[in-house]
Amino acid sequence: MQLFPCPFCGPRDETEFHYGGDAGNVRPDGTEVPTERWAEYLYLRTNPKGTAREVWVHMTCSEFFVMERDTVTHKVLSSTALGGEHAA
Amino acid sequence: MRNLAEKWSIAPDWQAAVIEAPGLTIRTVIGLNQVLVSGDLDAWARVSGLSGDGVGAFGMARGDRYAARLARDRLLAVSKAPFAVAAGWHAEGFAVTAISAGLHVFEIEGTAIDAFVARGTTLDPRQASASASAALSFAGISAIVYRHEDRLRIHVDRGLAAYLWTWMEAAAGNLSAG
Amino acid sequence: MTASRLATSGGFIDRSRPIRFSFDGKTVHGFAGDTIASALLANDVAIVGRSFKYHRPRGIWGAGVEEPNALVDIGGSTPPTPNTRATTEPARDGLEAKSVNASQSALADRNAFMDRFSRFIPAAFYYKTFMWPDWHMFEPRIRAMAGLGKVDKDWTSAGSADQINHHCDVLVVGAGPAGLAAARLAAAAGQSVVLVDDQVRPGGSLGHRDSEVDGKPAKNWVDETVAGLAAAGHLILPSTTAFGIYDHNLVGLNQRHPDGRQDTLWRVRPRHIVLATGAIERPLPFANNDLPGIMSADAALSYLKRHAVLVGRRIVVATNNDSAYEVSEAISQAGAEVTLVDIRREGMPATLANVRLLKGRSLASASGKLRVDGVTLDDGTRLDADCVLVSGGWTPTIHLFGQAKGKLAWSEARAAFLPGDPVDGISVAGAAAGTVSLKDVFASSAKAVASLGHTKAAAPRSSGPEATAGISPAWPMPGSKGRIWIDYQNDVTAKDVELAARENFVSVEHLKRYTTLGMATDQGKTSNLPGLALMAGITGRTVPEVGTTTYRPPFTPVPLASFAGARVGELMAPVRRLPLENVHRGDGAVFQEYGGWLRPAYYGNGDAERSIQDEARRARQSVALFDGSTLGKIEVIGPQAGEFVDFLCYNTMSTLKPGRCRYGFMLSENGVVFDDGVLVRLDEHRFVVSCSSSHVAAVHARLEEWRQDRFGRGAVYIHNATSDMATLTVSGPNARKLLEALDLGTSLDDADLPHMAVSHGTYAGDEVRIARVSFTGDRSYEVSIRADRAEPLWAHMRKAGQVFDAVVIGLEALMILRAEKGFIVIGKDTDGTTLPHDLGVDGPRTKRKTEFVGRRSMFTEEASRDNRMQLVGLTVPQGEAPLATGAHGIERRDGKLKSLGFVTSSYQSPTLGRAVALGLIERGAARHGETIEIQHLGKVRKATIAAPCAFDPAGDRLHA
Repeated sequence: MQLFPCPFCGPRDETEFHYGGDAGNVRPDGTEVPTERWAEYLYLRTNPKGTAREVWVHMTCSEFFVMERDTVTHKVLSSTALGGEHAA
Repeated sequence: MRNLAEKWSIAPDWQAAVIEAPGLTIRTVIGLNQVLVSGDLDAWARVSGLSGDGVGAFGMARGDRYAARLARDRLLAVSKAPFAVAAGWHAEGFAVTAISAGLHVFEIEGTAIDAFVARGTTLDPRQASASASAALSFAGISAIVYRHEDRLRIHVDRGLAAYLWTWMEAAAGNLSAG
Repeated sequence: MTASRLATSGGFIDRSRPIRFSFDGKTVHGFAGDTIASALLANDVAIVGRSFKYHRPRGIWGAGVEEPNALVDIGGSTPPTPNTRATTEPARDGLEAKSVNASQSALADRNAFMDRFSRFIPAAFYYKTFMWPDWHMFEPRIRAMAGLGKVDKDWTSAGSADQINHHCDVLVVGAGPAGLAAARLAAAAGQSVVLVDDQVRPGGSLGHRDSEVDGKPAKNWVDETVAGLAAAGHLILPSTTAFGIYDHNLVGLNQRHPDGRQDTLWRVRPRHIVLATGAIERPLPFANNDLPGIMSADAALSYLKRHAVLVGRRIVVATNNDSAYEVSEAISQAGAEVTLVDIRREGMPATLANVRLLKGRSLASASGKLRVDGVTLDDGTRLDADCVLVSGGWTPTIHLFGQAKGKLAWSEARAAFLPGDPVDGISVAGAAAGTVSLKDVFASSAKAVASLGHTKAAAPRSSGPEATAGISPAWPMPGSKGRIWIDYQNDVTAKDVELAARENFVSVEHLKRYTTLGMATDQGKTSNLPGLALMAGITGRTVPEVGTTTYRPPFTPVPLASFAGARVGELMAPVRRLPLENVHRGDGAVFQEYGGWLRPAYYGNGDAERSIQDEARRARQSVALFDGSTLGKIEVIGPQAGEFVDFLCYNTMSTLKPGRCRYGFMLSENGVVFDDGVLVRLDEHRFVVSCSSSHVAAVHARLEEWRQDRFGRGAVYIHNATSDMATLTVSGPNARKLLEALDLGTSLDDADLPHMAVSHGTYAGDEVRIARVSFTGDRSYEVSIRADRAEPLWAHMRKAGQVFDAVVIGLEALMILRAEKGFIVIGKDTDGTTLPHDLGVDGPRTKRKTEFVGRRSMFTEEASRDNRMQLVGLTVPQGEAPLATGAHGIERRDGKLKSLGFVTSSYQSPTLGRAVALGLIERGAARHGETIEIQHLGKVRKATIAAPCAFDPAGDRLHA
C-alpha cells in the first residue's frame, strides 16, 4: 500500500487518491485545433517506465496535484498542488 | 422482485441508539449546526469570529463553536447555536452552504478510542501533526474525524450513517472479543 | 515402539493439563503446550497425510511454518480451517483433525495405488495427456483425486475478522535470539517496538538449542526480555505471521488466536523493519527421502526439548553441516541409539560420546513401506533405523526481504542466498542474514538497530560453546538412482526437474510452472533451493545464475476472511440510504438498489408488475408523490460561477436568470454525453447542479478538476450538499392543488412560479426550495427541505393528497412515466459513443461561440458521420408485448444481417394502453414512420420508428 503526499494533507494511504491523467497534457482550446492535436490530447499517452509526472486527486480533500514518481520502484519524488504549493 | 430492504439493516432511532463495548460508547450528536465554508478563510474568520484554521485529522476542538479543516480552502464550521451568516457568496471572498442535515455526527467516548480508530483508518492518530485536514477515509468512506474535548467526533454523509453504524457495531464486537 | 513421550522435561508442555483431540477419527492424547504435530509424534502417529499427486504416505518433516507434509483440516472445538500446518497449530481439547488428500484416512488411503503408476505420470503428464477430446472431460475426476484440504461449505462465521492498523518506529519480525536482541536494543534507544513471531512462544532456536545469554540460561533471558518489552508498553504478538511487505514498507500480519476466534489482520506501517526471520533446514537428496520417519534434524531436537518427544529409538542422522552434531548428542543423551553420517571427512570432532560417527559417507537410499525401516549408504552399508534425521544445510528466510525487492547475494561459504544490497527502511539480522553463532547473531542485531538512534543498552552477550557454520554442499545430482524427492508437497522428484530441463524449461520460473516445484501452501520453503541447484547442475550453470523465483506475499497462507475483514455481507459495498427510508419501509415499499442508493421500486405487497402499472396510471390521473432525494445538489458558488458552468455544460447556462432552471448535458472531452440534469441559478453567484443520482461523486470530481486546473481556485467554489436536503416531488394534474394545501408561504401562481423556475417558501419554520421541473411530463414541483425535517412534510403531503386520490410512486413507475415522454436516462438510453446531437440536441454545437468541455469533439469525422445511432421511439402494434430491452434492430445488407442499433428502454404504458420503447437506431431521426425488424433471442418482431415522445407531444400537461 503506497503512501502519497497530498500537498495539503501530507502522506495518506493510496486508497484516498484517484489518478487524474498525465501531467502536462495541456488542453488546446477552440474548434480549429487540428484533428491530430486533439486526438493526441484525448488519447496519446507516454506510459513511461521510470519517472512519471502525473495528476492525482486526493479525494477526501479534493486537492488536485502533480506527483512525480517512479513507476518501477514506486518511490515518490515530488508532489505539487496545481496552485504551486509543494508537499512538506 | 426481491425486496432488498431485507438485505440492509434498518437504521436505528438515532436519538436513542447507543453502541457499548468495554471502554467505548458511541452515540449520535443531534442538533449541531454545520456550514461548509470555502474561499478566503481569513475573511471568513473576520466575519464569523471563528478561527479560519480549523482542526486537522484527530485535532482537538473545544467548546460549542469550532471549525474542522477539510481542504486547503475549505472548512466545516460547527456550532450549537445557529450561524448568523447567510448561505451563498460573500463579497469578502468566501462561499457558505448549510450542511447541518447532510452530515451525521457520531461521538465516541472512552478509553478504547485509539483501538477503535485503528480499526477505521490507516492514519496514525497519535502523530502530533497527523494531517492538516480532518477529512479522511474511515471504515472505507469519506469522513471528518477529530477530537472534541475528550471524545472523538466523526461526521459522515447522512446517506452512509446507517452503514457506519453497522460497521461500528462490528468493530465494537471485535473490540469486546479482543 | 518408535517415537514416544519422555517421562520428564519438555519446556513447553504443561503435564498437569492433559488434552484430547482426534486425528482421522482416532483419539490422540497430549498436553497443553503441544502442537498437533508434537502430540501426534508423542502418540507415534507416523503417517499424517498423503502426497498431492501419488498419494504416497508422508510424515511430519519439520516443527514450524516450512512444513510441507503435515497439513490437516481442523474443526470440532475450533472453526473449520483447511490445510492447517500441524506443526504450528496448537493442540486443543475437542479439536478434530483430518489428514488432507487421503480417502478415508492417511494410513489407509484408497488412492494409494496411484503411486504404482508414478512412472507413467511425471511432471506435465496432465498437460500432455488429457488434451483430447477436451480437458474439461477429465478435470473433475483429476481434481477430486489431487489436491489438499477441503473447505467446509456449510460453515458460516459468527462475525467478521478483525483488522487493525498500527504504527510504530520499529517492527521486528521474528522473536528468536536475533529478533529479541534487536527489539531490546531498539526499545532501549527510545523506539516504539512491535515484535511478532509465528510460534506460540517466543524464543526461536533458544527454545531448543542450549546456550547462555547475559550469564543466564537462554530460556530465562527470553522470558525476561519479553516481560521487559511488554512492561514498557511495546506490542508483542505471538502466533502471528508477517506474511507480506507491501509498497512503502507496509507489513501485513496475520494473528491466530488461542481461543479459536477468527484470525486478526494487522497492517503495520513502521519507520523501520528488522527481519530476524531465521533460517529453514533443508532435506538431503537420497532415494525415498520422503518416507514417514524421515525428518528435519533440527525439528527432532525441537520436539525433544520443547515437548519431551523422542522421535525414535534407532536413529540415523545424516548431515552435510555442523548443526546436526548438537542434535545427535542430545537425542543420544535422551536414550536413542544414534548413528551420525556426515558427508564431510574434515571438520568437527572425530568422535562423539555415545554416537556412532561415519564420516565421508552419505545416504544413497531409505527403505520401508509405510515408514522408514532403514537406510543404505553410498558404500552399500545397510543401517536399520526407525527414524532418519537429515540436515542438508540452512536456507535463510529472506522471503520478506525479497518481497521488498531486495536483491539476494549467493554465499558459497553458507551454500545459500543471503540478503544483498540494503533496502530502505529494512535491515536483516541473525540467521536470516547468514550468521550462525550467537555472538555473531547478536552483533548483527546491534548493527541492524544502530542506525535508529542512540541505544543505552549493550548488545546481549552469549557464553558457552558457539554453533559453527561448516557446510559442504550436498545438492541433488542429475542422473541419480531412485526417486529422490525435491518437493514433498507437490510430489516433484529429481527426475521431474531433469525432464523439465530436457524439454527446455530451464528458466527457474518455467521450472516452477512446469513441474509445480515450489507451489502450493508451503511455497517450496524446503524445496526451492535444492530444485534450482539441481537445475544448475543439469544445465552447467551456477546456482546464482539460475536464480530464484520472484518472492510474493503471502509467506504462509492467510485466510481470505482476514483480508476481507468487516467488508462482508452488507458492509461489503454499502448503498446510500434515504432520509425517509424507514417511512417508506412502514409504507410497505419494495426496495431495490439504483445507482448506489437503496430506493423504493414500488409500494405494497401486491404483484410487482400490477403495482407498478397501477402507480404509473394513477400518477397521470391525479397526482403522484415521489421521493427524489437522491438527485444531486452540488453548489457552484463564486465570482466566476456563470463562466464556470458555461465551460462545464454543453448548453449555455450563464444567460439563466436568478430563480430559473435549465436542463442540459455535461459532456466528456471526447464529446460523449456524461450526465444530464437541471441547473438552478439561485442568484448571480450561485448555481445548483442537480445531476443524476448515481453521478454525484463523478460530477463533483470533474467540477473540482476544472476549477483547480483551468479557472484557478478563487474563481469558484464547489460544495456538495446532496445529502443536506430531501427532495419530495409532487407531480400530476393536481400537483398545484396539493401543494397549495401545504401552505408553504409562497405564491404558486404560474406567473410567479412558471415551469423551469424556483421559489422559496417555508414549512414549519424551515426553508423549502420549490423547483418547478418535470421528469414525468406533468406539472411537477420538487420540494426540497432539510433532510432531518422531511418526515412531517412528507406526512402532510400524503394527508393532503387523500382528497385527490394521490398515489405514492416508486422508481419503476417513474421510469414508465419518463419513457412515455421520451426522457432519457444517461447510461441506459445512451452509451459510451452517444453525442448530444444523437439525442436531438444540436443547438449548442452549431451556435455556441464559447469554449466548453468536449467542444472540439463535436466536429470530428466521427461526430459528423451521417449514419450515427440516434435516439428514437419504437412502437409496436396495439396489444403486443413490450420489446425486449437490449434487442437489436436488424437489417439485411448484401445477404448479411447487420445491427441498426438497439432498444434501450421498454415498458408497458398503462395510460396509452400500449407498449412504449426508446432506442438508439442508425439514422433514426430521419426514419420516423419506417418499420424495422427487431431481433431478440432468435425471434424477429416488427417495430415502427417514431419520435421519442409518445405522450402529450405538445407538452400541454406541463401547464395543465
